[in-house]
Amino acid sequence: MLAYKDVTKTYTPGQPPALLGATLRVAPGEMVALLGPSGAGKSTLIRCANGLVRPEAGAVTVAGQPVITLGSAELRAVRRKVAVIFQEFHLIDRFSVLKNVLTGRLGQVSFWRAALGLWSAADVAMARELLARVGLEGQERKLARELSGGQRQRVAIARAMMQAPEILLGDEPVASLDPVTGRSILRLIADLTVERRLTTVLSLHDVTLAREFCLRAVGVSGGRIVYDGPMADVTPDVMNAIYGSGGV
Amino acid sequence: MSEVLRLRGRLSDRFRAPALWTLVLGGLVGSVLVTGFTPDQMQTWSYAGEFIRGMFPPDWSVLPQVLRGMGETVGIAFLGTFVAFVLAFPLAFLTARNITGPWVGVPLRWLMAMLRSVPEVLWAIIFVVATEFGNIPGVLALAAHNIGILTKLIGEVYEEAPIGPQEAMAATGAGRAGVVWFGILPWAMPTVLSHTFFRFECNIRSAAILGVVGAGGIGTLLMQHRQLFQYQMMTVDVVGIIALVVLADWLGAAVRKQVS
Ligand SMILES: Nc1ncnc2c1ncn2[C@@H]1O[C@H](COP(=O)(O)OP(=O)(O)OP(=O)(O)O)[C@@H](O)[C@H]1O
Ligand SMILES: [Mg+2]
Repeated sequence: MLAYKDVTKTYTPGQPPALLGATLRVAPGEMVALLGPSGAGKSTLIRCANGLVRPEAGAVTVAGQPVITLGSAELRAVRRKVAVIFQEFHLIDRFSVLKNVLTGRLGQVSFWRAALGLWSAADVAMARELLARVGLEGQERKLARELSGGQRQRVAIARAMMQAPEILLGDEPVASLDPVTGRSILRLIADLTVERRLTTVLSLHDVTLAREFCLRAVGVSGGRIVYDGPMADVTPDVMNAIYGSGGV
Repeated sequence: MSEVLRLRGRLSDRFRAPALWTLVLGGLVGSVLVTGFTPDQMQTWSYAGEFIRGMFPPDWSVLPQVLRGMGETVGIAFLGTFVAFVLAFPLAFLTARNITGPWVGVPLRWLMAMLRSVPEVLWAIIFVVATEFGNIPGVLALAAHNIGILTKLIGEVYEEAPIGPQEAMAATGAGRAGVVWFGILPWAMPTVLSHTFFRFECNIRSAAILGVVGAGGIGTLLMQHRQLFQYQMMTVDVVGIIALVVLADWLGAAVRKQVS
């Protein structure tokens, strides 16, 4: 469960807020598409959920725990439950695929064990299983930089699952990929959402793709949530409200 | 390009040539006045001919000593670089603005600036006076100067690390150490090592001279032979120093080729 209540974030005092009174609840097993024009506040909304951005007002709750007011140790505990995948994947290029997946465990294991590469057999087995699950069996020893974009995002997804998260956030997870690859990645995320009862929120700028995979849409415009409802009800009028008259 | 920038470009173009000439001419006149460098001083050059004649033929009997001195010089350079690296590598975490706050970072950056602003030769003189003649003050001198340089260089590499992987590591719930170790170091390491090798290359050159102030290596022989007027032996010292500098250049080029 991920809940926002009246969340407001202003990056630069005097500038209009990036997020203004955003309220939203997402339940386990749900996969929500965040829609909105550039600069609407989608990334900000996503990053508030794990404390990468700290809003100045409102409340964000992850699995019943408030995020915003936490100290750094408690924040780390929350972050373990919230996995994030990024548009640019953000893998460690010089590490092997397997080691990249294992870094998903950094919130759970001690720094020294991780730094010395003393991963437990259970963790390594889990990483291999996850790599097989995302379709990268037999690629464990390849370096991350040797992979295609789609393969990299699969590694990032395996790394995210390594956290055994309750919540999965994706900031434009398919925007750097071609439509066919993007579709296969969204298929994988949708399947994992159901399998693991994840609370999934993805910002997507390709509305056609969003319609294919998400039953619920949340429209953001100028820092406000201007639509929250079934994807099927996202009519041209709603699109106008989200994207302005330039929207399709 | 904006209109303002283009205008500024044109203005400075118009002034650039006269400014350059003024600088060069002014520099020439000023330098001659300051150094007292006048053509009639060239008379003293007649001694140069005598001196150079005195250097030949080289006295190769000192070759074993010179080779040993060269080895010591490389050893001083290696140890000096090694000690500097071992200290600078962790210190750089404390001077990098994206890792450590200003309360530790600012004073430490100042300290490092002071360490590196003292030239190796001056450090060598200080350590020779404080300890003894020989290789140890040479190592310490190179280490002191290079901690300042390497901490700055390595800290700047850490600062340039892309934010993405760091955020990805933080998002897993990793602590600060985890973020630095996995989010910054793998990206930074090749550049860190190439900076360190570059300093090793520079340190071979520096170490060759440090002996002149008593801090060990082949420079010690050069100083001794000069003081005893053994110019034919000094020739071999000079050949040894040139060989070292060529070796350092070659080593640096080879390493840079490997890294890039
Ligand atoms: N770190 C930051 N510092 C200052 N302003 C920021 C920062 N991050 C975002 N903003 C501003 O906040 C607003 C919302 O940005 P945000 O990145 O959340 O939009 P977005 O919907 O993700 O856009 P895009 O589709 O282009 O990624 C924008 O006006 C942006 O300029
Ligand atoms: Mg964004």
